[in-house]
Amino acid sequence: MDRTGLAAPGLALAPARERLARAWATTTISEAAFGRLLGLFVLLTIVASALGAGRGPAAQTFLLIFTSIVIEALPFILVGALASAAIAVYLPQGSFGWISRLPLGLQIPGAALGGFAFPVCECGSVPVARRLIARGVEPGAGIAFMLASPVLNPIVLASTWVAYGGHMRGAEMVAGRASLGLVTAAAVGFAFSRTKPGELLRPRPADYEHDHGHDHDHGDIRDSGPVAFATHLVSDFLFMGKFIVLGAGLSALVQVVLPGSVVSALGGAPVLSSLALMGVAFVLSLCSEADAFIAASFGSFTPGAQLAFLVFGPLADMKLTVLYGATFRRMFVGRLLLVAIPIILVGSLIFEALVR
Amino acid sequence: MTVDARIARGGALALWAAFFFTLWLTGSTDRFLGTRTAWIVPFGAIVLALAVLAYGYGYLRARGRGPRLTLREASGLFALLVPLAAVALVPHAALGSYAAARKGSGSFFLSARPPVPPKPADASFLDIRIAEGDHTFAGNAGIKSGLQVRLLGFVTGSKDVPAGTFEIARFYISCCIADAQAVGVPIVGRQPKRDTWLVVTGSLERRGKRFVVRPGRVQRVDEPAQPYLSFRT
Repeated sequence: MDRTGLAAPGLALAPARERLARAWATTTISEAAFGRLLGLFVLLTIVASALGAGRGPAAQTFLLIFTSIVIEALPFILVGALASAAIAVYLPQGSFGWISRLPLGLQIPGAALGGFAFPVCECGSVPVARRLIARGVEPGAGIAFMLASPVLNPIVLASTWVAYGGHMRGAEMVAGRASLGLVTAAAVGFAFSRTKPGELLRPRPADYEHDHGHDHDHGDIRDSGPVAFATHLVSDFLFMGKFIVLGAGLSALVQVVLPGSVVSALGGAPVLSSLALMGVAFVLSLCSEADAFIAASFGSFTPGAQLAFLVFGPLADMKLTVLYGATFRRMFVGRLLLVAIPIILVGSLIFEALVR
Repeated sequence: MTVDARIARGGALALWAAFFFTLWLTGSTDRFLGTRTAWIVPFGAIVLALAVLAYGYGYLRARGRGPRLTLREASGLFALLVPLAAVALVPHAALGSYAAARKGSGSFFLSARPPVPPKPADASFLDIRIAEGDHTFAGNAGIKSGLQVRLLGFVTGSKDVPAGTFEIARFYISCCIADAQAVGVPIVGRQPKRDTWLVVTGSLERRGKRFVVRPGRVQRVDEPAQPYLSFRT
């Protein structure tokens, strides 16, 4: 405060929104308040259950789809968090520096092909990619790996082959999915090749970085590998988990509100059908290890449209988009869609022409 | 006195670990997941439990005061608990006729070819629907007019059935309920109340492109402990 008694000018002029955001991020909760909030949460759940809040058909359908998506996705987030924590704790800081010295033309496709070695669905690859980029991997290569691994991994390709009945048809879809997935992942990777890590990665809230007590002592964490590993694991899991919950809620809501017949009507038109199935993939938020059976069932849609479903879903669905928003800066999702959608659309039309 | 964030984080993790253990040990996984992805429940239970233990060990060992729980982090932790509360609201529920109507007429999975049933009389909803359009499969499975079948399903209320019939169906899931699709078979007769579970025993007959069941016996039953069928090859 200056001699006139007024508050420091900078503080007085700070927008209200910034002050609110700062308060939100820094205001701590007392034990009593936390206890009351927890009690209120439990009480509301009990009351809602007693009143039959989940008994109506729409509410029940929403709750069942919502919880099943979360239950299915969280362990895969855990897998990704495990890998991310292992990289953070057990790999030395400059481990990926040699990759960054390779020409971009090799780095990005090479990183995309590395997806063969990471057999998890898309939720798990996000924390790993973030950790790789933070550890020195070229952002474009990290993004290419993140987008390719849910599509190129052996389990996904095997389930695609089975879903399409094996033989020639299965082989065609596998080849189509793998090649279009690889091309799209690499293209998006190149779109981010000039981006610096600081421009791409959203800084993590201090809450979710590993614990910094007032008497912080790195020695405690560094000396105990398993403890540091658990700290990183918990940090990544909790951070990603809440966005999965949000994305699952949105996906379940749309599935309840939008009848399936709306999409079925678009089956015939080549371009519209691909776009329609890409929209369905976005909403359904399915795991890439099982989505092939869903794609195969869209009998009224062309093989090209089904391929668009298979390639687009693991790149961008509702829950992933929320996760991306938490992990990367605002421009990421827009640029991803801007690059991926035309490539997948054109690729699906080419595939359609080739298989006919 | 403010809350140590590590305790709140450990608590949230412990609740999820306990939930996964409960799903696993009570055999309730199939209310949410297909057999293809059921392994993630024990995996999640064990890894989360180990993480809680390691995190708790680190907390006890740490000499310094931990970070304080902020409003933002608390809201994130509560958000993570919302699905657990949601499960409490639908403890024994399953998808029914409303979901069958929203999700479509059950064309999912019909393009893939499961193995033929061990005996024709064991033909499931999926086998019968596939046999409608695939004569090779029908021949291999022995599914034809006159075959005696026994089906357990819920009344969907679907209008997309031959005249004079009503549909019963089961939901098939591959990964989780999000991909669940109702696969139904028409039954000759007057439609009971929607979502009624029935065991129908009767013989198959052709009505146009569809197989329908002319029932010899229709019995109301309780919803089965495993309401969903898993698609597997």
